[in-house]
Amino acid sequence: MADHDDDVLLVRECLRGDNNAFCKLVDKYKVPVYNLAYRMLQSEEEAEDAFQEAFFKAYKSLDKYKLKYSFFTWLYTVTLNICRNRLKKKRRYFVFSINEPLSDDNKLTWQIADTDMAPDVLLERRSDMSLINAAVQSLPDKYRAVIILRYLEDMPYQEIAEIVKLPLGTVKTQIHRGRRLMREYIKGERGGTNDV
Amino acid sequence: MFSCKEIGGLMDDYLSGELSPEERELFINHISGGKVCKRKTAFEEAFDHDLRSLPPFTPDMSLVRKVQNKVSGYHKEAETPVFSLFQENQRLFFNSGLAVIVVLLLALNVNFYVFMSRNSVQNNFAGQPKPAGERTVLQPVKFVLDVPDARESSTHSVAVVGDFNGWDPGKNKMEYDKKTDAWVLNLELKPGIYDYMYVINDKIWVADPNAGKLRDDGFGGQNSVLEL
Repeated sequence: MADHDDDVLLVRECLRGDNNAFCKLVDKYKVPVYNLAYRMLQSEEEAEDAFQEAFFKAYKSLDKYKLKYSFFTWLYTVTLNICRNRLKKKRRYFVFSINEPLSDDNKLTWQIADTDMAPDVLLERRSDMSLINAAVQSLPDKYRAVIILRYLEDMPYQEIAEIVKLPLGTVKTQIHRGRRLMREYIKGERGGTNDV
Repeated sequence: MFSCKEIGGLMDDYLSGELSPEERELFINHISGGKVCKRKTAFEEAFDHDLRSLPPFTPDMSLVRKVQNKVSGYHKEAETPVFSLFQENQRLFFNSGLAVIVVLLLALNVNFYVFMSRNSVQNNFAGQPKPAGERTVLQPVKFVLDVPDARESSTHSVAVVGDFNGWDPGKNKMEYDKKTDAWVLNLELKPGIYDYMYVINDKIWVADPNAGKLRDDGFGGQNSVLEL
């Protein structure tokens, strides 16, 4: 709640003409917004464009944001809509493979918490993480969106339902199906074994 | 007691900690008694943990600063005094919100020329042979903003912003042409549909009232639309 109050304070300052207040919101939410854009659009260039568009749209329409709601949820909704629109436009021109992992692996820096791991274990662990990452990216858009919100942003089901504008039950079903698809992807990549 | 099938259906809720204490106890009792369900649960727990541990993609700080700079230099039209653009005797029109809009549209006599035909594009590029098979031909576009009451003294800069330049007012500054008393910019753009606006004095964002098409920007404002 304190977080929400802080955001509301910044939004109010911005509405009174202090643009630096919005810059603080940009700084605060830069990572989740970029992460969502990158994972949805699977392109650094597209993600950067969507990132800019999301914050600028949010800024321009700040007077339409209802202070009683979570600013983060609202910002995420704006970002997800932008990503969806971009994906729609993209599909008019070509179809990309849903099995293709992220093209820019250099952007990924795997942070394995346990640094005492033996090198071969560490390597295997990184490989696991890459596989899970590829599994997320292999999902159809509608499942990928809810999986990102649920597991990477740790959002409750109800908040996800508000963002994607779907009933709670549908969100749960999509998450369940998304997990199943990822399991099948990992199984396929490992030639039938299903161990993480 | 739960069946193995029911255990599969409750897995997400178990992992999310959303089972009631009674359900959770029954769940754990079940998986403790069977190797298959125990193994499946272990897999799901590890999968869940790894999924939540995926590192986020992070933006370059230059990108963050770009957005922050853009926001810092932006002032919403409705909140920005625009009197400096007009002569003293025009100020009486500003007594109502409606008058602001009307005067803005009239005062900004914006002329916008787009060379639409492919022939004219090719003529403009007559001296620059294109490689055979090239798909994209850049279209020359001339933006002309004629603001009768805005001399250089009151309008020190005008920029074109749009989809083609990331809405960055620093990228495409217009030049003041004394002969025509207008702000002018020539660009070459790929064929496509672009949203754009003008930024006057780095502060005032206005849609082009003479654009062939305007469209809602999704948040209550309007962008000019350029179709090439």
